[in-house]
Amino acid sequence: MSAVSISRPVLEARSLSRSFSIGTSFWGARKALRAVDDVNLSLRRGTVTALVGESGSGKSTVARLLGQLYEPTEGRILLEDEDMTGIRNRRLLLEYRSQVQLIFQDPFASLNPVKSVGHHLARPLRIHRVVPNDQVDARVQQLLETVGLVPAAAVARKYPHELSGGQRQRVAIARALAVQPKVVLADEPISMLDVSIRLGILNLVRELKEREQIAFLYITHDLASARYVADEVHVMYRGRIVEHGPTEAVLQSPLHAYTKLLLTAVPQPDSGLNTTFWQGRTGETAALAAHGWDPDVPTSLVEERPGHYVRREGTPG
Amino acid sequence: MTALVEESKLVPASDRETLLELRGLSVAYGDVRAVDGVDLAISAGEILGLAGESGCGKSTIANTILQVLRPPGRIAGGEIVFKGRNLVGLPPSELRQIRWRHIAMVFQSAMSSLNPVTRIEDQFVDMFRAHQKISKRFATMKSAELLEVVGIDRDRLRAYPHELSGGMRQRVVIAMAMALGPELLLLDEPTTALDVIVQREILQQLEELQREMGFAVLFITHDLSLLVEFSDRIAIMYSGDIVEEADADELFARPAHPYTAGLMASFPPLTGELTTMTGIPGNPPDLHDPPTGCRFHPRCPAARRQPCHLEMPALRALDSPKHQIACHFPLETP
Repeated sequence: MSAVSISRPVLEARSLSRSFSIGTSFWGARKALRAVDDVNLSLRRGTVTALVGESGSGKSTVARLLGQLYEPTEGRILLEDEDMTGIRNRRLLLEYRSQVQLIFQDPFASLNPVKSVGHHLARPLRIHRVVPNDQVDARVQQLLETVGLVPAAAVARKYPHELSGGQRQRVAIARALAVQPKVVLADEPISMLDVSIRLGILNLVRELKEREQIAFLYITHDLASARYVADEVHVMYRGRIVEHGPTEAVLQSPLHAYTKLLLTAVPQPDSGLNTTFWQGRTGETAALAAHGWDPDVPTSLVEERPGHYVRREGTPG
Repeated sequence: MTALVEESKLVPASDRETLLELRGLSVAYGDVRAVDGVDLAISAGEILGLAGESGCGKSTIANTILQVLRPPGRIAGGEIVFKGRNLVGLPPSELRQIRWRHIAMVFQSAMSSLNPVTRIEDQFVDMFRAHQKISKRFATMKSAELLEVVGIDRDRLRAYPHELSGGMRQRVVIAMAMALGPELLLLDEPTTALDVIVQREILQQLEELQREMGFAVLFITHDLSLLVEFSDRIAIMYSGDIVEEADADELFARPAHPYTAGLMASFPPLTGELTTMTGIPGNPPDLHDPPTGCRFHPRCPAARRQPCHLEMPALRALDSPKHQIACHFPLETP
C-alpha cells in the first residue's frame, strides 16, 4: 500500500453519464432518460461525501455506476488514478469490488433469511481470500465488534429475522467492511430505520471514516443527516450536480434554488408548517425558472465561493 | 359540576366534542400484549399525532380502531367509543357501515393498498359503489374531482398504479380515503417511504384538506419532528403504553418523559451547533418478555432501582390535565 495523501481521490467519476432507454416515456415524448448527466465526483480517504436529492434525481444511479453494477453511457471511473470504466474481466471486477463496496437501503432485503450472520460475513472473507481459512471465524467476530454488535460470538450464530432493522444494517456494514475496502458507497442506509436508531448508524459511519480512513459516499434525501456525517455535499437534481462544496457552506448558505427548496422541505419542529414559503411543484418550477433553470439551456458549474460550486447558465469559458 | 364548568373554560374554542375515545384498550397477539390498556381521545377536527418506535403498538392501534387486525391479533379488553357508541363487538355488517364512510385509513405502503392490475378509475368506482348506490358515470365524475383535489390531473384516472410515482400513488390513496367524507382519517406512516419533497407536498395538501373538510386525523409515525410540525396534540407510545401526551408545542418545548426527550434528541439539527449525539441507547423491549416496572427503565438515563425497576408508572397529569405523563421522575424544565 502506498502512502496516499489526504487530498488525492481514491475513487473518481469523470463526466459520468448514463441514459436508460424507456420506450415511450411517462409524458409520451422522450425515448431515452438521461438519469445521470455529466457527473464529476471525487471520493477521498477519511472523508464522507454526501450526495443529496429527491427520488429520481439520479443519485442511486451514481452509486450503481460507481459500484460497476451499471455501465456508464459516457465518462470514466478512476480507482486510484487507474481507469476502471466498464471492466469485464472477472478477476479485475473481483478486485474492484474488494476495494469498492455497496450498502443498500433495505437491510431486510439485503440479507439472506436462511443464512446466519456469521455466514454473511465469512463468505466475502473466503471469496476475496482476505484471511486464511482458519482465521475466518476470528475475523468475523472482529468485524461484528467493529460495528458494535456484541457479544459477537452470539450474534454470529443468529439469523436475520432475529435482529432488529438497525442491527441488520450493521451486519450489512460489517459485510461491506469484510474485504477491507477503500470506498464504501452507502445508498440511503438509514432511511428505512427507526429514527431512534439512525443516529447509531450515522455515528458508526463517522467512526469508521476516522478509524479505517474509508472514503464514504453517503446518499440521502435527508439533509440533516448529511450535515451530521458529511464533510462535503453534492446536490443532485434531474441527473446533474447543481451545487457542491463543504457541507456547512452548502447547507448554511446555499446558492442554488433547488438546494434552498430541499432545505425548506425538511421538517423543522420549531418553525411550523411553512405554507407560504413552500409552494410545492409549481413553486419549485417557478423558483428554478427564476434562477434560469431550463434543461435545454447550457449550464456549467462555477466556483462562486472558495470550493463552493453552483450550476449557472452559460458554458465554461 | 362546577369543576367541570371551570375546566371547560380552559379548553380553547378549537377543541370540539370527543369523536373517538379508546378506553383501556388492550390488544394481544397470542400471549404478547402489543397494546396494554391505552386511553386516548380524539376530538372532532383535531390532528392527533401518535409516535413511537417500530413495534411499540402504534399501527396496531390504527388497525384495532377499524377492527382489521390480522389473527392471532385480538382485542383483549377495553372499548373503542366512536361518537358515543362502542365499536368493540359490533357485528361485521354494522362495522362495514362505519369503515371508510366514517373512519378511513391510509396505510404506509400505497403500492400495496392499490390493486396493481386495475386502473385507478375502476378502483375508485368500486369503492364508491361498495358504499353508495350511485351510477358508474357519477362515480367516475366524483373520482375525477377527488384526484384534482389532491393535485393529480384527471387524465390519470385511466392509469394503472405502476404508471404513477410513489408520491402520486400515496395521493390517490388519500383521495380514496376522503371520498366518502369521513369524520376521522387514520394515517399510518403515510409519507415514510417518500422523500422529503414529496412528503412535504403531501402533508401540505393534507393540512389544507383537513382545514377545508374538518375531519379529525390520527397521524402515526416514528418521525417526531414531523408530528411536532403537523399535529395539534401528540401522544408518545412505548412498548404498548402511552407514556406522554401533550399539546404539540408544549411537548416540543418541554418534553417530560426521558423517552420523549430521547426521541427529540435523535434528530441532528439543520442549523446551529453540531455536536456528537447519542440518540436513545439500546433497543425496544421484547414484548414476549417485557422488563419489570417501567418498561423504559433499561434504556433510561434517569432510572433508579426503586421504584423504576419494580413499579410501572401510571399515566397522570403533570401540572395541567393537558400534559399527561407516565414516569416516576419527570424531567425538570430547564
